[in-house]
Amino acid sequence: MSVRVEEKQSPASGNQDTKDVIHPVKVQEGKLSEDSDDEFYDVDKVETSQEMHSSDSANTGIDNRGQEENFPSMEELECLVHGGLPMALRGELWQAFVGIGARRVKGYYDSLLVAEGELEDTSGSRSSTSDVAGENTEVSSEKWKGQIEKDLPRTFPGHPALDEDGRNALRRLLLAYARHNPAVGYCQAMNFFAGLLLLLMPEENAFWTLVGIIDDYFDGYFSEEMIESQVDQLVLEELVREKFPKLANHLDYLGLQVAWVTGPWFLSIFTNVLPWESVLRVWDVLLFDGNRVMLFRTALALLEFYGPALVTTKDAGDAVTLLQSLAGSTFDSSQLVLTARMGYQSVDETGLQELRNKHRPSVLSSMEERAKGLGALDTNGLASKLYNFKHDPEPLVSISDSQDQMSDVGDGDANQSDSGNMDDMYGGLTVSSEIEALPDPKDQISWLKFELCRLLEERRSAVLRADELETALMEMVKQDNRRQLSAKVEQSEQELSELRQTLLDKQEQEQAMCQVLLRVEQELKIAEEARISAEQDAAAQRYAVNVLQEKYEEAMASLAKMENRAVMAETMLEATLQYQTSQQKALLSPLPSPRTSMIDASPGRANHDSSQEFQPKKINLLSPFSLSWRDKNKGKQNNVDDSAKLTDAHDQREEITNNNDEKQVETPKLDVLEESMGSPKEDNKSRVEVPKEDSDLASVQVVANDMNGQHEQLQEIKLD
Amino acid sequence: MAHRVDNEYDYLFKIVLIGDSGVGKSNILSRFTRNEFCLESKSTIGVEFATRTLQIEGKTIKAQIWDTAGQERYRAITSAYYRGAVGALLVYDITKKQTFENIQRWLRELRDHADSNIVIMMVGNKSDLNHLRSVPEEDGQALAEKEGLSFLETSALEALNVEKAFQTILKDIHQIISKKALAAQEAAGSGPPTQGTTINVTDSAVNTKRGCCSS
Repeated sequence: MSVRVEEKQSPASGNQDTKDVIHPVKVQEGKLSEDSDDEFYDVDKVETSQEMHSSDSANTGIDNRGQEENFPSMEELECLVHGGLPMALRGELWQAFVGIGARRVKGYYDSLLVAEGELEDTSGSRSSTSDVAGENTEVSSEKWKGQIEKDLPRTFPGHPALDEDGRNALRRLLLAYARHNPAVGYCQAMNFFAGLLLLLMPEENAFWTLVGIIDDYFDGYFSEEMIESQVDQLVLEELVREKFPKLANHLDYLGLQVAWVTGPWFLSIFTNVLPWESVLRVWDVLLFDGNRVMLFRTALALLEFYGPALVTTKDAGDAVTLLQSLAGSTFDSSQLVLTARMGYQSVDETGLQELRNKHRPSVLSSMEERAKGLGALDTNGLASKLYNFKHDPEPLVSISDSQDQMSDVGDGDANQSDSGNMDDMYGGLTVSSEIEALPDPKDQISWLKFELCRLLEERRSAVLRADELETALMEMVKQDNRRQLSAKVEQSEQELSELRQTLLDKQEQEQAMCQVLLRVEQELKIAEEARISAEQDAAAQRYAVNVLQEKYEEAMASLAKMENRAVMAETMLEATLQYQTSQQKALLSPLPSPRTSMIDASPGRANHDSSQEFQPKKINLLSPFSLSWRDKNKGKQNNVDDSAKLTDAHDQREEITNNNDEKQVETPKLDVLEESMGSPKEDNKSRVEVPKEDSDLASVQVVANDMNGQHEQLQEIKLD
Repeated sequence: MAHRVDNEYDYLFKIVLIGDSGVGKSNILSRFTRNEFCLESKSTIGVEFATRTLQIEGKTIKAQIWDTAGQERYRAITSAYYRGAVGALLVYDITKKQTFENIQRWLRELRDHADSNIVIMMVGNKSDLNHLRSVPEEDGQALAEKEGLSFLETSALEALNVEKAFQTILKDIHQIISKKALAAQEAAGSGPPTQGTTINVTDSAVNTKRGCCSS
């Protein structure tokens, strides 16, 4: 071992020399770790690893000379980095970026790995020098071992390279780092880094690269208290508020802290967050830059991409789920790197350092609070002491103790740039014993001051927390109230609408009823009218009937009168006929006698004669008619005669009524008839009576007309 | 916090999954939210997150579950996730005594950093590995009773009791929220919400806390 250290110490080691030196190391390393790296790597990766060895020191050269003269090649390299490193060269270039050439201490990795075995052998000698320190390291390394064992199968599970051998390499790597830097030990997430590095480079190179990343790039990030990681989240939150105020407001509204999502991004350096290609591209730039600026730029670029979608989310859960899935599908790695680099050039290391310094105190105070809580928990107050050590480690470290432990490495390391790192390591190994061994009054005073500060701050934060809780409760109460009220309002609104509905229904029903009522009324009215008109009709009919009755009676009366007259006339006619026959008999027997009688008669008699002479003519004229008429009626009874006469009269009357024109013609006929009837009485009388008869007939005719009218009226009523 | 949003759900409850590393928190989460179990799951860096909406007592409740990294040093970071959480599922591994012994530390962690009213449920996971059991179920039950927590043994692998565990804690939270809403309503009924009202609620909260803390 000392030989190797000497070789490393020789400053004028050329390319060829280093290569020669390294190769034996590799062989030995392979023997020590029982499995060769070649089994772990793919064929092309083996090639790159060999290539890497050849250019290893050349890269170191870049590191050393880069600041001074190598600008053209640096520019070229920068282009390469930003465009994405070729996969075959990636591992090699990463090592160069991290500067493992300058870091590398030959045999250190092996010695860390053997340490486990050595511990058992040399425990006696060790415990004599630093009893408690040895136990502490052992205990903590055992603790890490347990955690590492848990995480080995949980690192890229299912990856073909991480088989049994791969897992063993990962275990060795993580254990070696934990022993190298006990202040950090093992932190979840390192397993992913180590696994990724092991996929790209040989085991020992991976170790040195991991050392570089954790100790330099992420100093204080994965340590026991993870202070820098918390500081970075506060810084990022401020940047987000500055760059995306709208998104920040929305996240506030959702009650979502930016750090809840971006915290895992930073801690895992985007492994398991972005697609592999994007992860590698981000690592390219990050390792090339030599600081964590790319973390911020990438996070801001992602938020720029997905912020607009996040603003539409309605609750924190949706927002986180969306961001997770969107980030996981960021396949356009070039776009991401370009946006991150060009879009956020203003975010640079100096600005970030200022922001970190601004936010660090708040994180420290909260950590003190935590530490105090832990101190109360742990009886020996280990955490708070650890904290004190972290901030003021130098005076507590005793070099003498560390020298015999790590003499083989320590000598060579003194010249290296990261010697401070080694100091840290020593401190981690020995500090606890120092604290308990040397209770420095100065230390005690500072400790007491811290305690005081802590108490004050705790009080303040407790008050703040109480306020916060109170407001939160108030909000909850209000919200619940609002909920209850809104529920009530909803309910009453529903009831109202129901009532309205029923009201409408009722109104409709009412309307329908009204309509029915109206219709019924109308019908009633119509019926009433009908009734009235029917009554009127009935009255009119009754009246008409009465009138008819009267007329009928009148007609009957007049008929009876006429009958009487007719009977009288008949009897008179018979009497005259009897008289005439008797006269004729008398004339026939003494023919001259009548003449004589006539002569004998007074002048009155003469008149009488003349009239007698006139009479026979008339009778002769009439006789055939009157005889036949009489003969016809002779066999019949008087009543029948009467009715026959009546019907005759009726017929005649009807004829008269029907033929108004014939009236004029017939009246003379009647006149003749009347004359013939009335002639037996007295001429004068008959003459006077005829017109009388005429007027009677006229009246009868009128009655008949009336009767006809009545008939028509009745018929009309019936029709109605 | 319990938010009420009109559309998709009645309540939004934030639940944190805590417990030592490797006890199966992530698998409990994946079993509950996606009904998946992965023997080779990744270690959780910081936190992981998932949601599921389910019906509890006729209410639609969206459970927003934050699954935290178990490694002790992550507590500083994960305690930030306790903010606004109304429930915590405190998980241990029944085959690893140490994870059960650490329950006390986790409880203290919750009391220091979470809301004092947080509903805690203790879960003994990996009950399918009964032959490797090192924590008897009675011990878990006894501790839960002592601390005033709900308790269930689950198996994410066999999907045993995982659903029930979440149902139980969500139901408990819902009952407390409704009770509070009722109390708040009564308080609001008597007058405008003044400081007196708030103090009353806080008092009850303090009482609950004492009930939990007293050991």
